[in-house]
Amino acid sequence: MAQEAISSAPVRTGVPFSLARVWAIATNTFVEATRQKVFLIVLLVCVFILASSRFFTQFGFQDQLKMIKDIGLGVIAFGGMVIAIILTAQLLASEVENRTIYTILSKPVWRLEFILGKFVGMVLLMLASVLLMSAVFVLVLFYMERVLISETLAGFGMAADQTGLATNEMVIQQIKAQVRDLNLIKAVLLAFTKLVLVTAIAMFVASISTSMIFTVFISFCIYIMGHLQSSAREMWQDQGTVLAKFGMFMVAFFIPDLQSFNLIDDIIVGNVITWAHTLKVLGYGVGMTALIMALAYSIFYYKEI
Amino acid sequence: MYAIETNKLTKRYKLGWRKGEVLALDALDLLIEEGEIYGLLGPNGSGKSTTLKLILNLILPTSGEARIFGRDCMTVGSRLDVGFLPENPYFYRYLTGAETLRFYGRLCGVPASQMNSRIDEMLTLTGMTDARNRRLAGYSKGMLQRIGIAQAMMHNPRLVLLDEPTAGVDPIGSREIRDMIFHLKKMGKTVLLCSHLLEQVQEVCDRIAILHRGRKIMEGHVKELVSDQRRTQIMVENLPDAQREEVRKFLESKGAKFISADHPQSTLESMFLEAVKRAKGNGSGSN
Repeated sequence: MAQEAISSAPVRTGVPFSLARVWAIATNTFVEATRQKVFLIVLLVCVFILASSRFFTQFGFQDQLKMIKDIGLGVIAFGGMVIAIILTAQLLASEVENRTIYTILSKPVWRLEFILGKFVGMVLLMLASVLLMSAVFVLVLFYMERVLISETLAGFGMAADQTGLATNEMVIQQIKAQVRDLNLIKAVLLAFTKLVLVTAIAMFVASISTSMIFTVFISFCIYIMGHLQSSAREMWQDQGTVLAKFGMFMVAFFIPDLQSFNLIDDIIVGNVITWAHTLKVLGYGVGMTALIMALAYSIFYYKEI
Repeated sequence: MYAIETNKLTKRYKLGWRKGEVLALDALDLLIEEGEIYGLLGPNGSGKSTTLKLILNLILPTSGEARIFGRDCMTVGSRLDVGFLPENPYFYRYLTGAETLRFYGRLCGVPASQMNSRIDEMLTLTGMTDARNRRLAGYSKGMLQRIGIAQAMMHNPRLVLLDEPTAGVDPIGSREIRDMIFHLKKMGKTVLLCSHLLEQVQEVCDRIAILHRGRKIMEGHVKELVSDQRRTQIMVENLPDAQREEVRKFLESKGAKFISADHPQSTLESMFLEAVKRAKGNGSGSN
């Protein structure tokens, strides 16, 4: 009976590139990642720090809100980075360890579909993580807005204007302006773009390595170097021995500039961040991600599994 | 057209900087007919898994070529007609049996309208219907192998590659997998089986090849390879021990050399299966 049913299944001839297969691998990767203990632990720690960030300071309202923003954006960036690097390394290593990669690539599946699927799955995971952390961040900010406004109206506490010159109405307006700062959206958008780029970097390293530890270590090193990239560029031009210059040259031209995605300092200082600048950095992030994924694919294409 | 055709298929692995290389497969020629069960035997490191990986394009050949139903193995299209069960597979532990098959079905392009019926068919074929909604993390070794065969069959391939399908499985599970292989043959599938269990290979395979250090050292039909044409086995029932001597003398008078006359022994496997079956019968009777 089974034979009759099986023989009625369709027989296909060609194998074009399929977004449906990419999506199947991506959703599977996403679900698999959300079941990993390391993901849940890191995410819980991040949410806990975000939720408790209002207790970290006892300064005036401006300093307090700055501190919450600093912690909030910092946790999204750092926690996201830990998730991006460790999960990417772990998921790709476990594909080989559990031989699931054999069962996938022995099907009519292109290697490009596999690596893209894994990448898209990780991007979905980063999106979910950033959205969750941002939601907690926003809740804390709005909660603080209510607390600070009520303290101002009561005429005491941390919300009081230290100069004594401003009226309550002016202080409340300042609190609202600080909390509803649209620059935060740009900052979170670029933080997410950076995490996507870090995921691509980890995927590139994983395509070369066979060990999870190696992938995590090298990706983390690249992450740190990426933040020193602009300094390296200056140093390469200025000084040092030939070896040091060569090292700086390599960092300056082969490591993506990750510092450019950080808007936190501008937000704290109160600088205006234009959409033009945001989109320019976003474009740089998308371009670098595409380049690194193309490199990862070209290595994975010839990889012996 | 052959199900599998390899021509001087060779694979050398580089061992690392200044350590040279190792010859894993040496100019292997294989011609596997459609519909036959072909066994690939050999000690560890003889090149069995390397052969499977080359056929599936998981690794690249150093030289030579392989074809599946006439399609070059280097193309994705060659894998339209292949199902593969790797050695000791684990799959995704958090998925249920049905979800696992759905995932692999999506990769194979099984249409959404047919997906559920295909999953049901595969679970029935492999006897896994009861475990369809259980997570794979709770599956036994034998169940993992069976769901592995089910995922390999999701897109109804004409060729199935099984790498040590009974490794680590108890005799009952092993017997069920053997029956499943027979069923695949009845369905007209071609099966390439790598195994260490020689008894099982002898039981299910039509032809075998023996690999040693990457070279094919023997190939042929199992029955021809194992039968000893010089000897004849006669089995009789109810022969009194006293008459044995008479029979021996008669045979020797005909020029034959009498070698032995024993009571036939059952195999340990069949004795084990019989004992478990009896115990199950008693258990269900007492409940």
